[in-house]
Amino acid sequence: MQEDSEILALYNKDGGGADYAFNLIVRKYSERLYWHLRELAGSHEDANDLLQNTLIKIWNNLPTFRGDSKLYTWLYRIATNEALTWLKKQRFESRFARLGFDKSLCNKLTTDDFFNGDQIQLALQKEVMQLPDKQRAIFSMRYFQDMKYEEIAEVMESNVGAVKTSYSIAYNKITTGLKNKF
Amino acid sequence: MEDNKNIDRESFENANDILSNEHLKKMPFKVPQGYFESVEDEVRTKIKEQTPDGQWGLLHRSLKAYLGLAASFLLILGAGWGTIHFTKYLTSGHTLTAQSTVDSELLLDSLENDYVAEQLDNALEESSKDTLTIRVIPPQAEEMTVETAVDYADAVQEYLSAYPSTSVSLASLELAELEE
Repeated sequence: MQEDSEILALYNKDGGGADYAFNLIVRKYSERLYWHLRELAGSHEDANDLLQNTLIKIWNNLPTFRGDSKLYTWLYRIATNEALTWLKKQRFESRFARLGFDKSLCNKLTTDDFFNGDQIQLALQKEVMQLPDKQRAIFSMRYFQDMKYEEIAEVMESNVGAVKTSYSIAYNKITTGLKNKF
Repeated sequence: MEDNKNIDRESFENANDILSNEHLKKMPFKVPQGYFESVEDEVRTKIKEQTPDGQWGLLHRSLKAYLGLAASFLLILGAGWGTIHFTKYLTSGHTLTAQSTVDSELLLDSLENDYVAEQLDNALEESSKDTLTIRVIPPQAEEMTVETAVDYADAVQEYLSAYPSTSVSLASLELAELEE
């Protein structure tokens, strides 16, 4: 798998490097981005839609990528912003629904054909789904994606201290929730 | 090894924490068979099939990247095949040219696109010029220069209506840096 610097060098090369470089980005990162989006979206269909939109945005915005951040964190930022915007929209549209958006996400999880975990994993997912959106994104990147705090801070356009605090709060909230259940 | 694990562990975790269980860090979801193999093709299809506004996304890429602070630029439109050239005149004396081939009808629709209109207006403003020169170069006719200060869409439309449009898919976006 090529290094990000090699991919960017291909992109900036004359003679149609853009397409090839974009294909390399898709091959290298789409699975990781998918799992990140899956954690936020709550269903395969929505995660797939978010991934497609993210990849299209990456394609459209690659000419403006200046290398101020790592390619990797830039990709995650696009994906995370796409998911957070979608979540905000979903919450707004379901504001008059009988069930709150979080509850409906949890219910969706219970009947999700693509869920293949055990009871404790289900319980964990439900706890994660009840976190505030940005906190959930931070928790997901640290806990499931094993990203460094510095990388998460770049993705969230925040600072390491704030990210650590947010993660710690989420971690303790989830731990308490799981202890109450088991 | 144990010491290394402890260094990585968060200060608020301990071995008895339920979340420290590595099993829980695995994503408990599966995907449809062949899903990840199909992502690349799916996104490529979607990029090609973007709506007229979306297809302008590819041209927007060029605009955003190269025309942001243009002192002036020349928009050259070709009838029939609808070739659009953007040329940005840089202070260094170099020019950057981008071109794309679009359907004429799409081109006319796009002239009414708010984003493109805004870019053209910004370019006019920044160039301190009163008029925007649009040079129309149809493949079958001689070059014609159209000057309009107000409504370039109408002027171009009138000119292009003399030529039958050929429906073509968005071909390629070429970027070239030219020496003066």
